[in-house]
Amino acid sequence: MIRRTYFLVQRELWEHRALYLTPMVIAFIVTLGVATALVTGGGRIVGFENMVAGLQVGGQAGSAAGVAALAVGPSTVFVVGLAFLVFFYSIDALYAERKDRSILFWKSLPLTDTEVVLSKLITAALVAPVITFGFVAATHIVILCLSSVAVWIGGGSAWELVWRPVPLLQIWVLSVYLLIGAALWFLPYIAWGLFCSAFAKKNVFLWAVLPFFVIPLVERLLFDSNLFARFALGRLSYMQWIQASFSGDNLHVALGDMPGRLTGGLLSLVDPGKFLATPGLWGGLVVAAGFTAGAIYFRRYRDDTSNG
Amino acid sequence: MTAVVRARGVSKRYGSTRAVDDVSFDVEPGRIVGLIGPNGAGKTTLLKTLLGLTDCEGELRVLGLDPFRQRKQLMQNICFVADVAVLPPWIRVSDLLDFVAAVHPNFSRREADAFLERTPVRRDARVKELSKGMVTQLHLSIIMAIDAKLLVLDEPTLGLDILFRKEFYTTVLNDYFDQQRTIIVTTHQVEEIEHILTDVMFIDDGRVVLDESVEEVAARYVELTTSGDRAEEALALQPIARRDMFGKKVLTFEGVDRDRLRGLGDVKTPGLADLFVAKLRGAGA
Repeated sequence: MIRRTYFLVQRELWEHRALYLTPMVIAFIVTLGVATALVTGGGRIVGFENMVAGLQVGGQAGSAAGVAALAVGPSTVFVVGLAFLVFFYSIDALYAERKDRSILFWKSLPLTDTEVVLSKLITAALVAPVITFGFVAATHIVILCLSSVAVWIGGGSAWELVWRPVPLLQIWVLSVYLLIGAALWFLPYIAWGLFCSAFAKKNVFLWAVLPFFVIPLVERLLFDSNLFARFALGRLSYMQWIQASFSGDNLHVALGDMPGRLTGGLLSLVDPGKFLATPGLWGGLVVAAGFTAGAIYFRRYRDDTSNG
Repeated sequence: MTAVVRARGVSKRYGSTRAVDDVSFDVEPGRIVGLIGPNGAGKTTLLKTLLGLTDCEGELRVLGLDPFRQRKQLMQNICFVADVAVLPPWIRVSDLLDFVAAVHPNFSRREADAFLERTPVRRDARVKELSKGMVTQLHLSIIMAIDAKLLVLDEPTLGLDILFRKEFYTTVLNDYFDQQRTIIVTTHQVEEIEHILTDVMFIDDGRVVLDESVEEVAARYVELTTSGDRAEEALALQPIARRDMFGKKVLTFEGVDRDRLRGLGDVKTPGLADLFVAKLRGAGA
């Protein structure tokens, strides 16, 4: 069972190498960017000594904020990359095998449609984020190492100025929390993508994207309301999810306090209970289950390989 | 022994067209059945119902299972090759074998490796880098290594050159087929499989128009080549089909005594392609 699942997911990685190549490329570019910034900033414009002096003056909090910004900031790039990656993966996952007709080979093996579709859902919602997180964590370490070198050159203590103040472990726990939350929160969109890739004869991209433009328009014209937009598009703008993930009523205040929190209680912001109690989360999971069932149905019944 | 396939009144409709129309037949174990028909006759649709790829009306049992509802169990004991081009182009040979080994309980990795040893297929190559002939060999290595009771081949040699086509059937016949195994095969190239079949099924317009063993076909159908007065005499015996060839008449008879015809010209058992045309187009052709 575990072996089967492992190989089903492995197969997705063989086919969709972008799942690990994309974060790999981002990691490379980010690292290169940070290295360039350190060399030009530290080496020429500010000078390594001045940089170290600045960190020392800023104290622990300032140092943490500076280095953490350097480490956390690039995560955004990874997250944007992941969003695109998962979207394009999900609309291709059940379409590619029909396009290259390999579906006939997969169907000659003792695999159920449910197994196959679920393996693709797991790949999109779980495996892709885990891979990206691996590269994020590795990038963090590389950035901190590069910063250490810069601090050494400036004559400071890398431990005091870089490693000790940055709550790396907390940042990682927070990242994992956010990735799990994101996977659950955006699951209906992933399932929708899989559904389209199982159902569309062609133009999967249009099938997947157009409804988000057409339905609100039609709804406005016919009923003068914006229910769909509020649910489907409001959910897509990540603010609802962020709001649900963290404690406190005023998110901006909480996040604005980040540098202060970084030294101690970064994780005190996190509120899984609130997230789990959000009705929108469960509503979304029900919708996701519906689209997944639809994708399984179409993989089972879709019969466009007919030739005689 | 129970039948490998038992079909009673099986139909498959697409909208208003009946791709398979009230078909009944049995396939016994240890047979090699050729399913022969023109394009769009319903061959592929019939195979799809056997493989549980599509639902159907009527009663259908394959290896005692309902193919559509018990598909996963069924596929543990069936191999099928739809077309050798369907192996995923992006996969590496060794990964493909690993994958099949992981999901197929009756697959022997050792046998597949042994088979591939004899071919030029490299393990680290991707399928898209292989020639069409090598892809066939790879696909064969997988099929040969699966201990299945039923092998279904749907136009397996389409687009292959003659050497590989020949090799394909030789391998299947010599290394795979035995009394416990059953093969169902469709192809356009009837001549190619004619000599290996034990049973023949003609299908046209969704219906089975002939379903007999090769011995029965030989006993029942006679082809007579004749000319002149003897041709007139032969025509009176009501052939099911006639055609002209090099000034002679070639007549196909069903159920007419061979000895009686012998006096009227050259007598032989018709080839499947000719018999097929005779059965389908009849005397008007």
